[in-house]
Amino acid sequence: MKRVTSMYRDRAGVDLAMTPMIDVVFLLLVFFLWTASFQIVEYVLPTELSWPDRQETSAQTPDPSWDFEPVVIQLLWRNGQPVYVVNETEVGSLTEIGQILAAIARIKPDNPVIIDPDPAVPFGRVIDVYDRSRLAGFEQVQFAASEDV
Amino acid sequence: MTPMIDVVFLLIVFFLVSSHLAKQESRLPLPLPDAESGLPSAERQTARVTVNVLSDGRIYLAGKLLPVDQLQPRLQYEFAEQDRRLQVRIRGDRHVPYHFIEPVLVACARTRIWNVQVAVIQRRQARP
Repeated sequence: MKRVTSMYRDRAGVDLAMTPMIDVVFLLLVFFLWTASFQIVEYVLPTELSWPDRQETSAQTPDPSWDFEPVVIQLLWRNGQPVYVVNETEVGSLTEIGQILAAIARIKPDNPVIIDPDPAVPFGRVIDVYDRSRLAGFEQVQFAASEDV
Repeated sequence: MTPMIDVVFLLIVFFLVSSHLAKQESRLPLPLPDAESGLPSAERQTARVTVNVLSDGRIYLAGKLLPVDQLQPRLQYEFAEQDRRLQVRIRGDRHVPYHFIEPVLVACARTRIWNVQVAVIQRRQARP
């Protein structure tokens, strides 16, 4: 009979305490929820800066690419709306710019594209044009900057 | 045992979260511009400095507010410190006027840092 009671006692000892396990599981759940979601994946647009005295673009060796004029896209800001000017010709929309750029890129994808935005243009609009130039297939897209900044 | 396990788990969670936050230090929540031609950001060996430009033009470098005139000296210092191999990532608010971004580009060019990236979010569908 003694044996039986001890056996019952052992069985009672095996009972799991659930509360700490739930504590831990909740902690882990909260941690993974916090870290995994709500994070937007960031992408990058590579740019290659240039400066008048940068060695690679120095005037030591004549660059054959200068046979073709660089495409200058001016980005103006009028009444809260962007106005696009490609090589001194006003262009209606971003789609049109995309078409023009794609046409030029088919002939000469290594032709430099220079984006010259007005100081008031929001950065997002500048990146729109930059994105279009990259999508058209241009390898060299640069931002214009004034010396006196 | 149970209280000890509780405490150990708490410590593990604490260190995981704090290390995660430390990594996020340079990632201020910003409405980034969207683009279609964005590339996935690759973790390379090159040291990187992240320049955040807020919508009001304030510049945060490595998580700290920095006056614009101190940007170039700071970049020069970092550039020299990293053995002239430095990448600059510009995280600009999509609404910030370009004249706040321009000094950052000029400071990079003057410091002779040519490796500059612009952080964007991927655009889901083509926009007209």
